[in-house]
Amino acid sequence: MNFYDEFIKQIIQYQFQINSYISSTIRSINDENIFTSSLLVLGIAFLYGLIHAAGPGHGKALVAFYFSTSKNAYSQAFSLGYLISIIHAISALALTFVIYFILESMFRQNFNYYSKITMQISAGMIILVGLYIITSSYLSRKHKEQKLEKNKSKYALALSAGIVPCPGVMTIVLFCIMLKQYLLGVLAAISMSIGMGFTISLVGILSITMNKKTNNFLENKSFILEIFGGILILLLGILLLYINNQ
Amino acid sequence: MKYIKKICFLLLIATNAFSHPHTFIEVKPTIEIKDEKINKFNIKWTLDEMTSMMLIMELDKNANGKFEKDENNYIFDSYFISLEKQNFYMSIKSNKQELSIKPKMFKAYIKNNRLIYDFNIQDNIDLEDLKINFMDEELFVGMMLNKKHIKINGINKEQHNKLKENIFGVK
Repeated sequence: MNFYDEFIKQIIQYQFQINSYISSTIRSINDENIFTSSLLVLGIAFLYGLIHAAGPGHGKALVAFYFSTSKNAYSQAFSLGYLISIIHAISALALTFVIYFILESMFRQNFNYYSKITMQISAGMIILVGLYIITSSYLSRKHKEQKLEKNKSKYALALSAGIVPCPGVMTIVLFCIMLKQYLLGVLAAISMSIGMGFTISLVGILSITMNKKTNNFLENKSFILEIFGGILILLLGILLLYINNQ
Repeated sequence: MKYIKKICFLLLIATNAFSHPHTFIEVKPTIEIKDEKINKFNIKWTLDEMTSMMLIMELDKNANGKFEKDENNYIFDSYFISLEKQNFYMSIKSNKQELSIKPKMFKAYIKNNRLIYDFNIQDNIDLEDLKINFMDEELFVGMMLNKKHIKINGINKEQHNKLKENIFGVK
């Protein structure tokens, strides 16, 4: 087993332990321990989000492609990381409540169906963002970068990556709903998304650091790297669309 | 060199899969050995508590805490058999040949709020160069194998640890 396989195996093992710990803690909540147990659940949910986002995922790939190929401040990594994770969690919360209270039964089948649709929408949006970055980088190659345009692509990227509801968040929220712990479900989703946002932001920071070193080498030709990033994002979108149409 | 490093970094993040486990299955295999072959191979999957609760809500239609024959058939047809594409999250290599899993005697039941799938797979598997791995290539399901959950019948106890390591790769 190579290093990467070992790393993934270890991440899965941690997630399994945390998953078991969260479910047993939520189930053990009663009138006497509600405050301490709820705080414990929120703490574990944060940790779960942190580790959950460390596994492979298209959100991190997008962040890495975006930041390693265009100039950005470190604060931008946090803003994009948290935008993605917040949208990811809101989307999961909304879908869980809609399926549970409106569509009622067949949660799993409805969940798979809507997950596939959102994944296709996400892939389509990622393709558009990729095309937008390629076009705008090419057109503005002789100008200073325009902050407004960069923000546009950042928000579009966050929406396209985050729109796919996080199944991990959905599972915890649904588990809380079934045990009539509605508020705890929503708070656990928020706590988990804070953890996920932190990990995604770290990927962004790493990518920005790499970009700064490479850009010194490229000097005024940094638009080439931006176009390269756009192409990678475009290819990722096409790949995701292909996978979700099989 | 900088470009190569950057591309490697990007590929490492995007590589392999676009998902991470949201369901966990504890795998409990029991094998019976006779004449250097696996004479009987039983597998139990215990799904994590959160996924179990979600599925039980949906599958135990009369909510009596157990699955009747029609419910069992429904689980097999609608959920279990579709995993054939993933070879039931298993890889069995015997004599350097990959086996296609053929499950039989499938039974689903509920124990301690957990959903359990119990099934046998084909027997008569040669022990020569036998390697068994439980893994979802897409990483959507985390297959958890613990050494203490592997049961081996039909050989001396002294050989158990060695066989578990050789066949299942657990230490």
